[in-house]
Amino acid sequence: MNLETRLGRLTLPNPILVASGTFGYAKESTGFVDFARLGGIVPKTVTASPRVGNKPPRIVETAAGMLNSIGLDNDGIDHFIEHHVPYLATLGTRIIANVAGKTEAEFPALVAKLNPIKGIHAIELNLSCPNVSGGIDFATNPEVTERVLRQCRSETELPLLAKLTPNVTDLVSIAEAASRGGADAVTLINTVLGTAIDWKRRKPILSNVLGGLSGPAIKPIALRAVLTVARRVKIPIVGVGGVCTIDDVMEFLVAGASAVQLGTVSFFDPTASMRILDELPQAITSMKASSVTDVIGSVILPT
Amino acid sequence: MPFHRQVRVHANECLTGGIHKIRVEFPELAMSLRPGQFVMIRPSGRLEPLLGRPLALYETVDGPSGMPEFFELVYLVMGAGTRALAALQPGEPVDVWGPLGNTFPESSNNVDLTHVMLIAGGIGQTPFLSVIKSLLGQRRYGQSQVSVMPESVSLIWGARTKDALAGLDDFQATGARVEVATEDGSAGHKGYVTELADRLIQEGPNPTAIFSCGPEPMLEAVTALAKRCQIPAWVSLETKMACGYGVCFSCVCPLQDESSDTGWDYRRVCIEGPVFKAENIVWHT
Repeated sequence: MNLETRLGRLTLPNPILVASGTFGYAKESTGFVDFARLGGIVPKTVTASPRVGNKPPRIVETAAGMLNSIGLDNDGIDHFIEHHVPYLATLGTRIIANVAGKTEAEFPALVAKLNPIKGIHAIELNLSCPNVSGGIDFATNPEVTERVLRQCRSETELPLLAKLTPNVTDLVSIAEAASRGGADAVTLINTVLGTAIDWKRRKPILSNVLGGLSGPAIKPIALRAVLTVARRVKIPIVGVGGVCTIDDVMEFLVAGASAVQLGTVSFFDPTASMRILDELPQAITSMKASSVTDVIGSVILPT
Repeated sequence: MPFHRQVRVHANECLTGGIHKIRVEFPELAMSLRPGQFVMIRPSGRLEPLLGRPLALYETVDGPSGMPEFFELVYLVMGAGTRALAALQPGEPVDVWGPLGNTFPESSNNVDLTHVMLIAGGIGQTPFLSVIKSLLGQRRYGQSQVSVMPESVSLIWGARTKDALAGLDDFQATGARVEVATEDGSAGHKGYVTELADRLIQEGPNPTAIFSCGPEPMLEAVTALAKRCQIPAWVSLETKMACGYGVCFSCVCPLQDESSDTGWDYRRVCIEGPVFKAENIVWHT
């Protein structure tokens, strides 16, 4: 059984990744997850300077999901390189660092900083965090998306993934722009903007008012994004959004994702990735396929 | 090393109005949980409620082997998560992960545990049954060992009303001094638990350490009381958690941090706490 999959210049031994912001810096999952078995790890987003993050409450549970407004709480790229990368590099898996700039210019600067660092196998650009004050969502505009990718591309030969927001009218044009700018793959989707209200107190529940919806509730939205973009854009897709079970993984692969990221599931099922990896070969076999690549994008659409 | 497994509910009963006790069969976890630590628990196989709920260890229970095979959690039904827990019948599956979080000071190496005062508010008594039994050498938890037995352990427990003092006899049975306060005067001192604690501190013996758990305004008042009386204090915080093991960054609380421009930074209550030195908490940012 060949579980290998390719995201442009990045080759993964299997398509099971863990998503940024849902796996900390990996160390927290010691004992739950055998890191070396994962296709790769995307650690929590890092920014140029430390960010304290949003005031609590930062989360609220919703129907089959949750809203979060963590606000990119992190200690900055220098701390990441100094304290987290040396540990991540020992885990025997691919490390896909995730960065977010406050301005367009910060993205290539962050990429340039990571480029020479041993132990980083790829970089995912968080072009779409809904919770950063200032509210500049780079990936809502194709020109900006292409420009950011182009600038990042000129700073590194490492594989680049562009993580895009579903909170746009035309996701295909944004994904095409990322592809033109030099992305190896697009990650679809970041959280879906939402909110929650405490009607008795007439107040929003999140201190940040708005948050990003994640979990099983958004799986159909993510699956639709993957299906639509896969038919129109040439570069590979990493599917993310409500992936909890082997069935979810297979749905995304069939829809056209070359890999998937497990996100919110890690919060309520810390060993989900291990179970899914146990079940993956059998699921591939059940399709009379002998490799993951046989399955990717094999959806049969009505003519 | 933490465990994550689908296990069975062994018993689940209502103690008094709204307060329940669930017993779960999970020997590996029962053998490693220490007083002050917590577990995440959720009914298996459902997407609603989606997230686990953090609940403090109440007590471990030995099985036929003579070793801890079960643990108990006492919880107040507050919302969808605890409501779903309360509806579980014996034999039903739950997903549980733990042990999670740190503990109150356990050894007299760095902390003077001669006279320990425990101050609980509302449902904040739950970590203290095992804390008391461990301090008094009545039961062993995990690898913890109390080196020197305190001369006195007292629990000062305040609640809205008498009915909220669920499991009071469990605490009285330990032999520790137990004093209660209720806001409506239906049991013990009428008024706040901190008033009662203040009076008892003045009466002596002077506590050498205060451990506290309860609603935040009470913990802030305990912190002020401890500071005024110059008694080292530790508080166990309760915040909204998604994961319980450090990956979601939801449960943060502001702690003093000299390296930060503002003098504080958010820390994860689940893995850096839930127990913090009271004086390090920034109550208002």
